[in-house]
Amino acid sequence: MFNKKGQAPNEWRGILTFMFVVVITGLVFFGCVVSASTKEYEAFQLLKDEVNVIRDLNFFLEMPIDQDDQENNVLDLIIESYLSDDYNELNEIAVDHFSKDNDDWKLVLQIGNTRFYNSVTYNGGVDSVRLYRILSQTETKIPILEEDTELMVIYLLRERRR
Amino acid sequence: MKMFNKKSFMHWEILLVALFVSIGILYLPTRSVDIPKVGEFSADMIKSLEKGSNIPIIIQNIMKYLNKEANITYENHPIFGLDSYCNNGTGLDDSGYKERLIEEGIEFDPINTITKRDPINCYADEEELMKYYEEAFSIEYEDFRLTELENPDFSSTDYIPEVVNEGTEEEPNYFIKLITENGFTLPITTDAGREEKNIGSFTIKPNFKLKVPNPVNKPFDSTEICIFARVCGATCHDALEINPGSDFKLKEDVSGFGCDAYHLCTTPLDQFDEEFSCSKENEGDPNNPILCRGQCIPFCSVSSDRIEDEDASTQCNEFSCSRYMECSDFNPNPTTCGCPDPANPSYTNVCTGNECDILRCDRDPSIVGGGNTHCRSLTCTDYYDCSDGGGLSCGCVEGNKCSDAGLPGESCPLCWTSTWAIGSICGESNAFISCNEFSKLKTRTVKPSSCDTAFDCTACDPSCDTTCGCVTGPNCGPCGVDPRNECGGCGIPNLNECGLCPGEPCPEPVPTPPTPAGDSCEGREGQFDPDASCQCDIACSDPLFDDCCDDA
Repeated sequence: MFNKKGQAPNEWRGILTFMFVVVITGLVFFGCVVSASTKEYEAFQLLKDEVNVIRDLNFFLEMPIDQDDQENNVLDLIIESYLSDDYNELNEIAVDHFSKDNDDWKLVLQIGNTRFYNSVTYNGGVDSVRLYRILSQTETKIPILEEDTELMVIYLLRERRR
Repeated sequence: MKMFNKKSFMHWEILLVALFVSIGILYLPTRSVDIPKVGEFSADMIKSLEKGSNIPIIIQNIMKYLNKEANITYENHPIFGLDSYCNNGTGLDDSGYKERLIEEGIEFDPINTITKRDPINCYADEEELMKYYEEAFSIEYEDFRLTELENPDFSSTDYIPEVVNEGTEEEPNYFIKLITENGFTLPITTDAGREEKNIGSFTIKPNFKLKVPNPVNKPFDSTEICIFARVCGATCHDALEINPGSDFKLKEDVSGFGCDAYHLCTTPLDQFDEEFSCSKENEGDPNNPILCRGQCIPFCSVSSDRIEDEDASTQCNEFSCSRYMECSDFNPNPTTCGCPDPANPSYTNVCTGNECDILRCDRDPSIVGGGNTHCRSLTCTDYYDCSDGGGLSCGCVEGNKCSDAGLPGESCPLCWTSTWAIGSICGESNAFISCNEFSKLKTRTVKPSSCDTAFDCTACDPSCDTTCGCVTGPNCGPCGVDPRNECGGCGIPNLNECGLCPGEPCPEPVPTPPTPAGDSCEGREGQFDPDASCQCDIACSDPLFDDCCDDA
């Protein structure tokens, strides 16, 4: 009996150890699954934001400058502004349009490495990666045919102050 | 039973290790499998579609630019550079060219450099001009397609332009419709997993309708073109009408040479280098009319198959009329006939006279038969190297026709006799005989300026001496102004042994002085040496020198 009784605790210890390890392993696995799901959710949320930004930019570019003049839209104004190097009207329309919802946006016009217009700096703000974290962004490339088909990149970014 | 109990003991640590190994074995192969997440493709598709939704606005912007450029291209279209004649058919001399074009609706196939449209109407109004605008847009679009744009890619997308007027006649409102059949194919990509993948594509066919401002210089509604060319039915009479006051004229095509049958006359061509079609339409028109341009008068000479000059006394001569016997200029600015004669393009002189075919021998010695011809007052043989030119085709108003086959320039020269009187003794050096005035040269030292070589002069000495008759006669003959010789006789005096005239005493012999250095031929070559006191060998034997050294 002694022997029998002496064997039982060993058996139980083994069972308990095994169960413990299995439970811990299971918890780790579950934790990984939850983490992956969270990341996926965040990625989808990001994608959704990105789609929204794309939609916003497209809407902005197609927007007529003047209600009476449906022929000319903001895209025409962007090219005109670039050619005349005068971004006042564009800035006014951009501020009116994007600042309706929130102020955490940035519109940038760039050819090659040269930025011609940055809505933040144009309006007296400071544009720095230390100050802002990009939430989502999109870009559209349009050819400037008047200038030997240079490609202008229009960026729209949603940012959050750090 | 005991054995059974022993075997029933579990080795938990082995079981744990086995469990982890199993998990590892299951995990490793699945790790390399890229399993998409549920909904990922849908999300990427939405994103691609959303991104692609701005393509039409970009294309529209490009089309706006091309439309602007097309307006410029249209205004500079080569069709506007063509000759156009849109008269309204109401004028007095108006043939109604425009009306004919409209009524007959004439078309033709233009050359590629004018337009790629084929065929085109000879008459272009608003509707036709809008087609030229469409062509201008197509040119711009094709040019733009060469630009390498990645997105959207125009290389395989065709747009058919169509200009329409949606306004009224008073207030036209032009638009250009741009319609594509094949559109743009845009890729749908996903960047999930390790690399970006193409998971599909979608096609968009954006059509546009853009406003076309009425071109400023060539507005559609107030511009018209009536292409003036034979292919459009333009006639000689239309050409006369369009060029009032010009030198265009209708002439008769009598020999098939066309306008080449007339002097200073060309065939005017239309802008496509074609002759205008002619027909006798009016009473005053010539038969079988052709349209010519220029003076268009007959040729002065009789030219085979061409229009002949009515005045037979005129002709085209090779040289100026004054070089011919009885011949003069017809008129400094002939208006009834002209030269050159096409049969003799070098015959440019308009002459008239009875003997315009016979050149005068003395006007241009080199023009007859290649020789040198002259008119000389004396017999031709009285001149140096000169022969009778009786067979020559030239003529002389006065004198004899002479010919000299010698070198050009100085021909048939009259030897220069005026200097012949300078001399003392007939037949000797520096002496001349004046009695034979036109004879050939007598001595070597006096040569007429027109004689060509000293050799010729020397060579004629013997004959001269024999014809002179002064050298041998004992008595003074009629051969010179001073026929007496130094001894008072005639001819060569008979000198005594001392070389003096007969009767003169010989002087005392003087010892011969030794030959000075340089007077000997020893060590010298026989060429003429002007510094030496005497000459040797060849120079000595040349009678020109006559100063041989003693040992020559």
